Amino acid sequence: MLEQGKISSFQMAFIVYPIILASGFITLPTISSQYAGNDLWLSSLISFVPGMITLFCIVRLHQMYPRKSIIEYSPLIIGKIPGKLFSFVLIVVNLHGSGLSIRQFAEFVKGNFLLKTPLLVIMVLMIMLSVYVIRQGLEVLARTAVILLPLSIVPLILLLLLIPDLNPGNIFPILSHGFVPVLKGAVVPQAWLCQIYLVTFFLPSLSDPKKGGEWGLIVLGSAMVSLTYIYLLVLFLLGPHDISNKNYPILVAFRYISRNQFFENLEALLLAMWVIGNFIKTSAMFYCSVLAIAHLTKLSSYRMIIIPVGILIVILGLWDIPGGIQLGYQLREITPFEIFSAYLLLPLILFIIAKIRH
Amino acid sequence: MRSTIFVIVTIVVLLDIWFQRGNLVHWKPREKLVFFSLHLIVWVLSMMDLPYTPGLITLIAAIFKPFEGLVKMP
Repeated sequence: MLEQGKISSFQMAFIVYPIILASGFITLPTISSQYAGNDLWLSSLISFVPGMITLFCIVRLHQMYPRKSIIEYSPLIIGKIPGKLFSFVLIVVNLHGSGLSIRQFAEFVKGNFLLKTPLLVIMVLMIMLSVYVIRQGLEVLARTAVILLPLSIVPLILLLLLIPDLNPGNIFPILSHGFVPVLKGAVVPQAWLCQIYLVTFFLPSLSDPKKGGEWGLIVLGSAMVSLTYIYLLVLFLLGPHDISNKNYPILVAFRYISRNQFFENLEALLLAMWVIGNFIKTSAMFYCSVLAIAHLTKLSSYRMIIIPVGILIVILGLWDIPGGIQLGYQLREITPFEIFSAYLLLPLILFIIAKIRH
Repeated sequence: MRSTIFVIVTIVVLLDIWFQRGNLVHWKPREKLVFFSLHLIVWVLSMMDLPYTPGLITLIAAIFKPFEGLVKMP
């Protein structure tokens, strides 16, 4: 095994939660409400189903091939050359996802807080931090996630200060345009929840692998609950029309908080939460990419390729994306299908073939 | 931005190779090949005008073009 470190299923949950939702909190409410209007909260509930199918396939495949990741067992299931091609596609999608995620982080920070800082500086600083963590190994990444993630969740609780300003009546009329807009609104969040697929790289390193599936389901459930909480909160605060015409409704919600002239300007907390969440997300996705490449090319250690893969992720975050508008188009209309195909359909096909062969 | 990226990537690639030079003798030929190939790929890519060069996104958009209608903005 390339990774000698061992983590618990509980620690894995702390790594995977920000992979799913670190960036989702900021961008998903706008995208879902553009399609589903005031029914956006139903979209987040529906998006749980594809995530659960992905998790089921990955966990069952891991039970069939214990202590192996998808890159290692795909050649055993579908043959050497198809398996390598399959792994290559997954690695490209993963690297691309990491690049997009770091670019999304940099766009938000530059657009709202560090207005004069070059995009490249924000991206490079984040990747340097991730390089440092990954060089220390999976155990350090897990402990970092366990320590930092609770800090990134606290700001979400502070949103409850908005309760007096909320208008629950914004939720009505429910399903006034039927179910199709809700399904369209679920297309993007389901892609985010399908990223639970990345547990395939952590399951072989678990000290208690039998609990892996259980904790995966807990993460998926808590991601869905958190997303629904954010959706409902911005819906009650802003109404469906105001969500859809704002780039970052959650930022508006944080700016709106004003209690006793003391709890004000809390958007700085949102930035702190955004940085912490994205740091864990970037590091985890980066780790998965590096480990996958090392498995595919049969290296004796993944540490030798950390720096070139880090540069590649920054390059993929810049390549073919001239600005924020193109990034938004990519995230709204292309990424959902890309992730759905690579993280749900491909493992599902692999699982069906493995099941038949078993 | 183009020259900035190229300069930064060139420096980082050279530094990484410099710091790994002690380990290179212990690596298998396959590992050396992967290490230098990845460095070569990122160095060549850094020479391009990245934001305006068609790449992965154009390719993936072409593949998933038929599904675009499903999520066309209302």
